[in-house]
Amino acid sequence: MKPEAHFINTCWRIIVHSWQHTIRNAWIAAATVAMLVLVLSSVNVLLAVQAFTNQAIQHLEDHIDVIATFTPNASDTLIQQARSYVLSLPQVQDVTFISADQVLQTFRQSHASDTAVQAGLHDVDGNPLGAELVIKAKHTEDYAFILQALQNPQYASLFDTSTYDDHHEAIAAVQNLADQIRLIGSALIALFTLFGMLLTFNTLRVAVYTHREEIGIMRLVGASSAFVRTPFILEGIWLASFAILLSSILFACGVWWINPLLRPLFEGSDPGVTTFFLQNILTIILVETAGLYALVTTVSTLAVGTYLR
Amino acid sequence: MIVLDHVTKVYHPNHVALQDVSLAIGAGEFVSIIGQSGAGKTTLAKLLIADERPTQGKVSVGGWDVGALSVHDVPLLRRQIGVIFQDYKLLPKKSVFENVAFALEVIGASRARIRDIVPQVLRVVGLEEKAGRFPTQLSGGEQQRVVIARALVHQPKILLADEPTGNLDTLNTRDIIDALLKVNQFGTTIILVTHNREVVNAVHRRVITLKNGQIHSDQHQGKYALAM
Ligand SMILES: Nc1ncnc2c1ncn2[C@@H]1O[C@H](COP(=O)(O)OP(=O)(O)O)[C@@H](O)[C@H]1O
Ligand SMILES: [Mg+2]
Repeated sequence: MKPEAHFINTCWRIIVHSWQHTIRNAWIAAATVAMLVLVLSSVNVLLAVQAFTNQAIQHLEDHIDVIATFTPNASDTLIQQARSYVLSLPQVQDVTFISADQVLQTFRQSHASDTAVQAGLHDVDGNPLGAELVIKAKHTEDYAFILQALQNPQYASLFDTSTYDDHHEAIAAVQNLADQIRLIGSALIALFTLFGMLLTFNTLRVAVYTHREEIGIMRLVGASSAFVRTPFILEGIWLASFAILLSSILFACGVWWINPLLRPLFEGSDPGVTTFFLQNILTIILVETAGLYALVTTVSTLAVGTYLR
Repeated sequence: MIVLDHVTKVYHPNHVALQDVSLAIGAGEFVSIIGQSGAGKTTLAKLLIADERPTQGKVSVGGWDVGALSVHDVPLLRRQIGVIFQDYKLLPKKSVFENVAFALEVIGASRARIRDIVPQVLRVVGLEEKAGRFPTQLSGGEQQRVVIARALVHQPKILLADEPTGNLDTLNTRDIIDALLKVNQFGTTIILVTHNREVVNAVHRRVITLKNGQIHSDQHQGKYALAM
């Protein structure tokens, strides 16, 4: 017999044996797969929550700005000087200038149905509103400095008001929530992983016990230890593979279901969960497969090893 | 072929099962090992297939130092020795053919070789007609002959049988002995462990008697009555 033929025969029989083990053990195998799906799903949910909170924080940070309103009578030259000054600050990312006319127009539009306001505007000569600078900082923590800088005596008189909406509390709340979820999530993952490993161990012990007669005969007639052992370790690998397949399908369904539901929280823009999924699913599956295979192989080897010596 | 050189086997913690046993068995011999229950017969058999290791002394089989065999080499030794132990019966869910084929499958034999050899060994034990039956559809003696066929499937130079006629009636016992004698005629060394008087008298070959873990007698053409 050619050595390759021998090898292929052996591999094929080992795979067939491992399948038979899994099938004969179907119920307990199903319970184990369910537990492993729970492990992977809790990891996936945590990853999705992470992606979602990052997106939420990003969204909130994007909406932080300082709006500096000029007094209506500030001259164009001074306004331009003030704008250049603000732009020259190293902390400033971007300054948008909104002329008094634009401000008035926007104001009119947003109060189009309010007759009292319309009448009031009509009574006033010219434009009662001042131009605005919308200032975005490079970093969220720079806003305090920018507000300070607007107090510069050279320009302070030009400004009517400076409003600053920093979403500080919202960001802190989201961050805090994310931290809590990560903590509880990690604890749950650890617990589920422990259960998953125990169940896998138990499943393989049962599999070995069920096949004790065959194992005895195999050893008696000179089957190699690898031949006796490998089907059981492969059984663990089958269980892990099923779990990865199922949990990935669940993950995809979950993501496509939740993403539109989160949209209102982002004022209609993309919550990014789907995007995160599409960008990372391959990596996630690869890492989870590697991790779970490593764990299951270790557990299976232990379960079978102690029995077979 | 088989040499035990001052072999002692002490089971944990301090039960002496064999004490200073020395013997030599040549190729093609038919040796019966007899003795009362607890005399150490099974222990001796287990030492030969590296299922137990000697506490002292040296066990060698076909040039292998069995006592010092690495875990990796044990399966290779076992492919050279056909073994019949009472603990290893037929697999009930496999047919006669499948039970015998199983022993070849698990060492990676090709399908062609399995198709070739299994009918041959079934013919040796006179069961080629019943290859498709399941163990429950066979008599005790027939089942035991399938076990012998399974042990022969590697075409071993040595056949080691521990109480192969254990629960069988006279007629079935006779069948087993005939099968073993036939295998021996093909040149296979037979080591037959038994406490059955009829068996030893029927075989009429070399008899080694164990008593309390020691060799009590070693007679060519021994008889049970004399041996005890
Ligand atoms: N694994 C073991 N551990 C401890 N004692 C054992 C073990 N196997 C056998 N013995 C003891 O060794 C002695 C010889 O046993 P054994 O070789 O099975 O005898 P036989 O096959 O002649 O009946 C007995 O007293 C038995 O109780
Ligand atoms: Mg015994």
